[in-house]
Amino acid sequence: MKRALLILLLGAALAAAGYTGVFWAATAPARAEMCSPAPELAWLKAEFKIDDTQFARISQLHEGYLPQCQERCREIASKNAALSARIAQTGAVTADIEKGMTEVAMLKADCQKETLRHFMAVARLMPPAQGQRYLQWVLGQTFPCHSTATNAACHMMSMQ
Amino acid sequence: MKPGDDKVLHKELARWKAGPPLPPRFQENVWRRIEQAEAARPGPWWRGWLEEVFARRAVALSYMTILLALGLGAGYWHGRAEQRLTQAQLAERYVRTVAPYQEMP
Repeated sequence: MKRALLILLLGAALAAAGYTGVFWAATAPARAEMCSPAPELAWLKAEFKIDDTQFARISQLHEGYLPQCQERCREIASKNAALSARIAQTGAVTADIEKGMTEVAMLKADCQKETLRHFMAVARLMPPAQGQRYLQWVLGQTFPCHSTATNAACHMMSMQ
Repeated sequence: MKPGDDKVLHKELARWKAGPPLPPRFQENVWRRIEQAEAARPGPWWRGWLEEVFARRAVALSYMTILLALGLGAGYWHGRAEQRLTQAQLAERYVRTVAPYQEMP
């Protein structure tokens, strides 16, 4: 019985060791990305096969873009809060509410414009095929009717 | 026992003689026999079956190979799933970082 029990346990130990080893190896890239200072950029680098020089420039661009983006977000949030308060007060669509809505829409449009510019700048720093793929993907994630947006963006890219 | 029974007891005790000394290693032999009796008792059916099956080297080797393969396969499958999940989370995080006000699909 001892021999049979030993074989049983050895089989289970082999299965556990195999599982752990392969799981560890298969999740190593994700772990490395998660441990990097900017995991989302590490993901971008791996996903779009960006070399170190391109990655340094993209990171720089990203770092420069973020504070402006955050500032625009703060502005939109503040306008939205003011607009919500005004709507709650009046209970009707007054002229200043209309004006406020227009302002928020314009801010959002500005924000979109800047975001699109950023995407294009990032795509230009990537290898051409990867840049196209990046644009297609990121526009699909961020803009409605993305196929149209992608086509437009690609068209604009080719014109620049 | 009644008080009058003491006499009977005394008589019996006076007649009693200690038998011959215990044979050497008596206690050890008793324990050995107990162990042998326990070992001889039939165990559950699967014990016998396992012993019989794993007595064959090819079966034991196949069992271990199959378990190893299952472990490797499960580790690979689960690892890939985890990897994909992390990639999707990081992709979403990237999008939310650069375009927090854009519509998400």
